[in-house]
Amino acid sequence: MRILKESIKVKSFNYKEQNDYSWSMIIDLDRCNGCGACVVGCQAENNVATVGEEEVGRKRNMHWLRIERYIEGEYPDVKVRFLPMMCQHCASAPCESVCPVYATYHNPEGLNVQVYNRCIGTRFCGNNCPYSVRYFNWFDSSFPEPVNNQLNPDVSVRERGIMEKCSMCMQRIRRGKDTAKDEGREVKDGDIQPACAQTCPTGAITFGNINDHESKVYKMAHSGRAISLFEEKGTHPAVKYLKGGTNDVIG
Amino acid sequence: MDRRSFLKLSGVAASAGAVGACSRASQKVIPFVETPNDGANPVDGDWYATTCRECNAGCGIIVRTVNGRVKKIEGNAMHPVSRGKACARGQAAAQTVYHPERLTSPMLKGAGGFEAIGWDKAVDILSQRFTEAEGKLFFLNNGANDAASGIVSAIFGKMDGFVSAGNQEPGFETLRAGGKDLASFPRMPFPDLDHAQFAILFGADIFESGPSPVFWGGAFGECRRGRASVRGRLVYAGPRLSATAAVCDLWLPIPPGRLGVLTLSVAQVVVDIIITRKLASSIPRNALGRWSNALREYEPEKVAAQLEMMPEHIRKLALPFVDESPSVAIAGADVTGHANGVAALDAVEFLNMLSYEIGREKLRIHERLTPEPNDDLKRRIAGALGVDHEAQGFSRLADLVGGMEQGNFSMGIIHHTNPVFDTPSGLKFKEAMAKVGFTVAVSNFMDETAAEATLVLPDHHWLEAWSVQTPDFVPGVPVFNLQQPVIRPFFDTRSGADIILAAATAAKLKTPAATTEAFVKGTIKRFRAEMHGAPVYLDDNAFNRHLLRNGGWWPEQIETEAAPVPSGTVLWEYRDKLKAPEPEFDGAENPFYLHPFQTVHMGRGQGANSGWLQEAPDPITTLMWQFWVEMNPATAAKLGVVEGDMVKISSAHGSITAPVFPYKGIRPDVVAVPIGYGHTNYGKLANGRGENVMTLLGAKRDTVSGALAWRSQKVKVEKAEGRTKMLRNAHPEGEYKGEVFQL
Repeated sequence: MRILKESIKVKSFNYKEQNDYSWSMIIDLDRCNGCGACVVGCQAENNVATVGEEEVGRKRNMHWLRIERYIEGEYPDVKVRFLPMMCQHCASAPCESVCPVYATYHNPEGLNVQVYNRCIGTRFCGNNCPYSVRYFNWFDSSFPEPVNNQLNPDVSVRERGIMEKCSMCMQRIRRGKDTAKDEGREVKDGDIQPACAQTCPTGAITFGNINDHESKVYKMAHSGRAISLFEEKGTHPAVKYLKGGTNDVIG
Repeated sequence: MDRRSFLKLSGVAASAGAVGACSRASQKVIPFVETPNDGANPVDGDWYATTCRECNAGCGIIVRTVNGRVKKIEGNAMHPVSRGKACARGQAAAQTVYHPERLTSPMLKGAGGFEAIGWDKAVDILSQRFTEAEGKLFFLNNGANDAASGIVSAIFGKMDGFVSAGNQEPGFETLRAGGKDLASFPRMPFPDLDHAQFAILFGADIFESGPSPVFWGGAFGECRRGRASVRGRLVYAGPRLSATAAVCDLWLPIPPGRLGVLTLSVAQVVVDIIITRKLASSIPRNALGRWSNALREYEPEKVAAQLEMMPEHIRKLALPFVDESPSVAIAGADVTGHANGVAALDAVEFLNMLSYEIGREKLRIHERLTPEPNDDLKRRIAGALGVDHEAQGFSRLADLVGGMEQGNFSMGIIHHTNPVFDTPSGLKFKEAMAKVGFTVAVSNFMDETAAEATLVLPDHHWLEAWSVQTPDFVPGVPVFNLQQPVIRPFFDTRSGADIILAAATAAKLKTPAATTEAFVKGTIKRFRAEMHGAPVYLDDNAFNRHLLRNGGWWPEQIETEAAPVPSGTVLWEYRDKLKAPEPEFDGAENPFYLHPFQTVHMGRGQGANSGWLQEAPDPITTLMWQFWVEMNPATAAKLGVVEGDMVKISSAHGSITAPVFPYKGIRPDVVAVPIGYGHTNYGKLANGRGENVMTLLGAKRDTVSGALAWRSQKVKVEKAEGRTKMLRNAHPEGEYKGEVFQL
């Protein structure tokens, strides 16, 4: 009975509170203009391969971050909306429980982590992800000389047959924590910015530690505009979205 | 490898990095470690400040280099244009440096095509040509004010017969010409969107073809959600629901070329409100009376029919413009793209002036922190860097082409611009170029223009080169952008400006400096006394280092008023400007309006050889690697086509075929085609991908500014043979509707 209680305690989402950091990302949909700077910024930071026209046609493009676009209504009352979609780093992640080799697991800071050299390419995780944000390497990624000179040495280049996905720029989190440690302090709000957040011209993406109640992300997550995608599936994502406003000009 | 020797080797690599070595051996010292993500191995790397040169916005950036290789580009947080951000095209530049198709050796055209020659020979040939030309030469760049244009105009500027021109984005000279009388100096319109509560965008695709997508992106973010209690509201008027229009709260599908009418109609209501409510006491009442009379013919009831709007909706648009001060009007591509562009811009600036005068009295919020304006210094910096604003316009380019046809030039230098591809076929640039005996293309890549040149000089990538640039964008504010080599040149290229200097020296011409680096440093020295806020006590070297660390110089932020107040006479006389002429169209007998537009990724076609940019989905269509034409589903149904069917679009100047993308956000009488596609000689990723919409255009121009009216073409559209699969990027399990996520 005691063991059962312990396991329930571990599974409860309050476990985050016990750690220093619980990383979270807030995306303000009212600011996003769909420009795609984040998409290319992510590609540059994380050595994400391009696959070419033919494979794109088979929906095998590898962008860790895509911008979903919705067109609603009929002419002339048409609305176009953008929604940047990347790994939601679910606290209760459907992908984690199906991996036979623990290649994907939840780290103590609330991130869903993919360990490339454990992955054996069953693709169960990709099939189980309601957000479709896991990407399978169907080929060896091609970074022919001299393009490989741009590759970011912080991030491994993935090989054929493994899954990859948004890591919330793990290397930047590491660097931010290392710097803070060298300076004998905790990570400050705004110290760490994933590539997408740093480049976003409209400032739609904010990243931070939601355990810190003074942080921007904490305040935004409690602003009343915050929603989680597919909340009914109970995935408890670490990425939250701020709903757009709808005040009409003529109406 | 054990830990100790690994650390030793890392130390070697780190010290090699510190002295700026970037030999390829360094790559072998630290292999790309394959670790699990959780054990990522962050390397610090060196960050350098420089200026992005992918377009002429002049965004300050910082570049991360590791072991002498460019890794990542970010915005420079201190810079007034980029404000710490970067766009997709800027990001992609990190890969373009290492593009396998970069030119590496100078090439001279002989009988059997291009032949690689050595750099010494290239300089010899060029210097000989300089001597023979005796000033009868032209210099054409992309409209940038930078070190190269500064050097060229310092060498040749005073010679008879020298012409310098800029092939800049269409419409910029209209932006400068509009509302000129209301400002103390000609400048790009610069409404304060950051602090606006209400904004009307008149065809302004500010995230796609504005002077700086990054700057406007930041301004939009601030306007929308930057303040705790105010959510900025935006209205977009124009024939197509662009990515910019998509973020606005309302889209008004106004017929092409009629935005001036809408502006004046809104202005009419606003002026009436000012009179009845006794607002804006700084405006003389008799001026208001004159405007009110002049605007009588633009009463909503009289123009609603031609705008296809309800009159009360125009009034409802004008109300928040007064009530939700500060409000702004922003004009863009759909205003400047028509032959009546300047007139419409005059109207937009008039509206801004009204808004400013209302807000100044009511709230005093137009006072804001901006970099201190100093128009005189701005002009002198631009002057030192060669190109004056008149030279950047389409008129000068058209004159240049005329001169080339008449044989006025014995040689020409084309510097980082591709007019054979991106000017309308009606201009006939390619034909004119063939009439110039000797043309030099300074470029990173083989492109359509370089292929027509006699001598091709592979330039350094801008991340490898010295330069100084000043953006025209922030009006009145002098911005001195420095561009420094962040890595050693990767290929055997030479700075184009250096080669011109070397050849000019050999030809015994007077040069401003021995190298581009010396020119850049000389320019800093020339202006350093006027760089307020910079540490004047430093010696020249230390001062240069200080500037390089910052990425340049720009004035400190001061509290300033948003716009200069025009004099009373100007205000009274302005009534004559309150007119919206009928739009004129080329091929008016054709049924469809052609709406060429820039996308966020392709620019004017420069982005087409980048895999990252080709594979990045277009915001609206989400298409990748693909060319398309947008039309309303009703239009598609009438033509009997569905998504992916090919249609032929033709005008008197040419025809193209493109697959159809039915899009609900476009007027049924408009077809929209992205520009920048259809390269024929720009490398394997770009070639044959779609067709070039510029071949459909004549060279119709704005009647006042002479700018290219690139949206004043009407075309025929008919069904053609064939189908293409459209490569949309959506959720792999199908496209959801927004309601799924309760947005």
